[in-house]
Parts: sequence; structure tokens; C-alpha cells
Amino acid sequence: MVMAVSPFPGTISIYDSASLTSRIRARRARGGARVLCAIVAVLAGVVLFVGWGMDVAAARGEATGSRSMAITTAVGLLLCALLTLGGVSRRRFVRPGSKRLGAGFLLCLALADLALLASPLQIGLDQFLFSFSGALAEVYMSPATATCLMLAAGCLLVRRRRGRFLNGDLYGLLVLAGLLVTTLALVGYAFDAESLYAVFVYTAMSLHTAVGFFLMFVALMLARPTWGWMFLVMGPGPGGATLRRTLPFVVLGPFAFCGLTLAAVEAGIFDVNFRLSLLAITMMSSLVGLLFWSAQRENADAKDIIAANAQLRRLLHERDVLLQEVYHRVKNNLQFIDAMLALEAMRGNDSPLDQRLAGIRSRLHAISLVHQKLISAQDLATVDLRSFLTDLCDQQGRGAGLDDRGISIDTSVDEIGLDLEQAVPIGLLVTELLSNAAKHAFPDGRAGRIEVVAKRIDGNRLQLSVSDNGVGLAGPAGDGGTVGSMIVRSLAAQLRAQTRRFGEDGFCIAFTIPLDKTPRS
Amino acid sequence: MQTTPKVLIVEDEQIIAEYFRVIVESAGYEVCGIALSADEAVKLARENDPALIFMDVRLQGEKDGVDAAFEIHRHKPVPTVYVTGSTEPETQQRIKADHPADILIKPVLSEQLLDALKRFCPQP
Repeated sequence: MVMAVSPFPGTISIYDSASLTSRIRARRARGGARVLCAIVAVLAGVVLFVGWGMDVAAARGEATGSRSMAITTAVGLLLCALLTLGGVSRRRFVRPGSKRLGAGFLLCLALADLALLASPLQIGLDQFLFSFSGALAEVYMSPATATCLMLAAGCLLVRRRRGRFLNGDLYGLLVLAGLLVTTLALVGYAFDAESLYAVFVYTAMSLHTAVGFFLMFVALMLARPTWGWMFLVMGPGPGGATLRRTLPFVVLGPFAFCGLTLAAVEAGIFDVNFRLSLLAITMMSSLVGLLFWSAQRENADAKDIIAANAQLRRLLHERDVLLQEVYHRVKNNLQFIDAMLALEAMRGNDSPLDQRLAGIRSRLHAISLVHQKLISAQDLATVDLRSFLTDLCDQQGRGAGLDDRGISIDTSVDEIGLDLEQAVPIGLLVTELLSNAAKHAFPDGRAGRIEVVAKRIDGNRLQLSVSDNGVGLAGPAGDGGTVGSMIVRSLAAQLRAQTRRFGEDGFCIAFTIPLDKTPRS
Repeated sequence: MQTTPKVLIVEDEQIIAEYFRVIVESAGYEVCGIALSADEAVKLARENDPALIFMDVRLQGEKDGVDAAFEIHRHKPVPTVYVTGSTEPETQQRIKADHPADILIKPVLSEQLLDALKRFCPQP
């Protein structure tokens, strides 16, 4: 599975191909927020300047027979729209400090209104501020409006912090609460259900205040498309896709259907009971249809996942086959080179040259053994050091005819998983040291023992030693000028190994090799 | 009169086959033929009646060494030493189904070939 970093901070997307689409969707959402903020700002501005400044009753909303939008409400809504716009616009004309200050002011405005309404005076903020003529102002910010203002101010104040509880979700909850309050009022106005917007003082809200705040909360939702539950709608994944597809129908469908049936009742096409029956049947059939659709989609998704898994398994098998083929060809080529070297060695009687060719062949055999182990490995990538070194010692011992000379090789190796990059140099290192011991440690038909030990120490280091009980450094083994010694030095450097030599009783060379990757045993 | 035991080499890489031939002949055996494909191997085995076969698995043509060995053994069982680089489990299973004398993994040492000759085809 491809893991990709999501464009949204703090989240990881498993839908790699969807990340770009999500980013585009988030940018579009912010664009939508800008448009809605501008509409709300215009609406509040018109009410404020035309309705209250120029005293045009229609602009205040009175012409429709609805309640009026209070001055403080219009100011609050305008400020809220401008602050949100400042946050989502490309130039970000509102600095975070100013935004917090503005949001704090909005919060104070709403709290002051609520405090005054709850006080023994039982007057709204507008009545308190604009009643200097002696009579109480008729219009004031209702508790429902003040609540909306508080929720909007809260959204502007909330900051997302990593690792915090309700990180981003608090913002989503505030937006959701605001949408709920305004939707109640809007539904009340749509179906003439006065109790939803006007009967109780706590729900009283004018139509354009409800519209303005509804748009404001939608804008706030779009302004932070990656926060809280909004990410579910905007983000990648099949759940988000289903939500985006169904949400408009779920929200607008019942609204439109109820409106239509209400109009039909009012026009005398059918009566209220028939309308209720129609609503019940429609609701039931819609929900059943939605359930069936959801079940069908789930089944289709499961089928897709099964097909994708099957394809992945097939690709994995193909990769294994190809890798095995590559290893096989490498081994075959090594055998090919080995055969040519062997034929070359058989042609002449040049003993030093034959010895050098035999040395090259033994190194080829070591590399070939790594590939053989890789083919046998379950993951085709890890060589088991124990099996590898045991076989290598056996192979090299046979090649050098050590049994016939009375020289034994003992191995003590931990089970450590190594990759190709480390297994090859370690194999070559052991090959060189065994070859060196076989050539120099036991002169004049002397019998003896060679010991190869590989242990894991400190979790991620390998202690490798090759020792013998031969003649020690007195023999040519200590000579540092040969090709073999040069190869040992180079391989040790390649493995970033620390090397120590001992030569008192026989000869021992030990390497401490860091295992970069976590040992797989 | 004693005859020199015959050895059949089945190997699609001519150089490797030559290397095997030199080793086998140096040990005093006769190489009755080098087959590059399964069909050739079956033909040479029928014509020469070898005492031992060194058999590679991957060969030229559609059939492989295991197919060739099965066909040869249907007429007459001959000790067969597989010399292969194929160590994947499926191939190993097929080889084992043929009851091989031994399996040598490439690259092989001359000592391994000589040891196999001694064990399965001793000189009279």
C-alpha cells in the first residue's frame, strides 16, 4: 500500500492519488468561503448603512413583515465576515493578533447583550446603547442571535494545536452548533412555524439575520476544510466521496419536498392528512433506498478491494519470479566465469598463476553462494548468516582440501539476517581469511583447527572472528603487502569494521561490524 | 576386457559443459556426449547407454533437465547427478520426484564432480 503524506497537516492519507484532488478541493472550499463572506458582509453592510444609517425600513427587513436586524447584530455580522475573509483571502489582510482582538470584541458584544437581557433591567444591548432619546429602542439582539455571534467569535478564536484534545474538532462543533441554531430559524420561516423563530424570546431571530448567520457558518466551515469533521467531507476516501454525493440531497431534498407539499395543501390539491402520509411514505422509501444503495456500494467496494488484493498478489509473485530469474542468471554467469578460469588453469603448469586463479574462483564461489541463499530466502532479500557461513566454510574447506590435510573448520554463528550489500563483503572476508589460514598457518603438513565465530553484540553490531591454532604471525599470515591482505583491508573499510589482530597462540583476526539496518533474525 | 565408464553431460552452456568434460576425462572416464537440450539428452542416452549423467535443469528448448531425466529413466534407470543453479522449491521438488543420485548447486567445484563420479560410477 502506498503511504503518502496528506496535504492536510496532522493527517496521513493512504489514498495517494487522491491527495492532489483533496488539495484542489480544499482550495476551492476556501474560495467558496471568500464568496460567502463577501455576501454576508454586503448583507450586513446594507442593513447597517441603508437600513439604519439612511433609515430605510425595507433594508432592515421590516417590509417583509419579519423582525428587523439590530444594529449590534449587523455590526457583529459585518465584523465577523471581514475577519473570516481576512483569514482566507490570499493576501491575508487581517493579522492573527487583530483577528483575535476582533473576535474578542464580538464575544464581549454578545456576552454584554446576554448579560443585560438576564439582568433585572431585561433590556438588550441595543436598547441600552441607543435609548438616549428617552424611549427604549424597539429592536435588539435576541439571545439566539447573541448565541450565534458567540459561536462565530469562538470559531475565530479557536486555534488548532498539535496533540491537543478537541484539536480542530472544537471548531467543527462550534460551526455545527451555529448551523443548527440558524437552520431551526430558517425552517421555521420556510414552513411558517413561528415557534421555531419567534414565540420564545430565546429563539427570536429575524429572517435575514438567520440567513446571514447561516451563510456565515457555512463560510466558517469552508474556511477550515481540514479541521475536525469538515475533513471527513472535504478529505479523500470513499466515506468523504459518499458524503459529498449524498449531503446535498439529504439537506435540500426534505426541505424542497416539504415546501412543495405545503404549497399543494395551501392550493387545495390535497389535505393535511394526505400530506403527512405522503411525507411518511417518502421518508420511509428514501431511507430504505439509501440503506440499499449504501449496502450495494459497500459490496462493490469490497469487490474492488478483493480485486486489488488479487492484483497485488499477482504482481508480488511476478516480482519474486523475476528476482529468482535474476539471481539464477547471476549464478549461471558466475559458473560460466568459473568454468573459463578453471579451463585456463588446466591448460598450463604455472603453479603461481594456478594459485591466483584458484583464489579468484573461491571468491566467485562465495559471491555465488550469497545468491544461492537469496533464492532460497523467503523474502528473496535476506541471507541467513548462520546458514551462509556454515556452507561457505564447508565449500572453502572442500575446495582447499583441508580434510585431507587434517585441518578442521569449526563454526559458531548467530542467526542474523543480512542483505546482499553486507552478505557479499562478509562472505569475501571469511573466504580470504580461510584461504590465508589454509595457505600459511599450517606449513609442513601440520594439522590444526580454524574457527569462524560470528555473534551479535549490543543489538546492532556483529562480532566476526577467524582464528587458527597454526604458526601465528611467525608465518606469512601477518604480511600486509599481498592482494589478499589488501582485499581484507578494503572489505573491512567497506563494512566500516573495527579490526583487531592477535597472534600469540596461532592467529586471530576480529572485526566489529555495525549492522546499519535492524538485524532480522 | 574392461571398458571405461561413459558419462553423459547435459548442459546448455557449452563452456561449462567443456569444463565438466575436462574434469570427467581427467579422472579417466569417457564423455559419451554433451547435450544442450532435453531431446538431445534423451537421444544420446539411448545411443550411448551412459553409466552416469550430469544433468542441468535449464536447457535449450521447451523441455528441461527433469523432463529429460524422466524420459531417460522410463527406458533405463541411470544414476543422475543434477548440477543446477535452480534452488527454488518447485524445481527442487520436481528433481526429488526423479530420485536423483545427488544434487549439486552451481557453481560446482571440481572436487564435487570427482566425488560424485567416485560414489556413483566407480572405476572398475
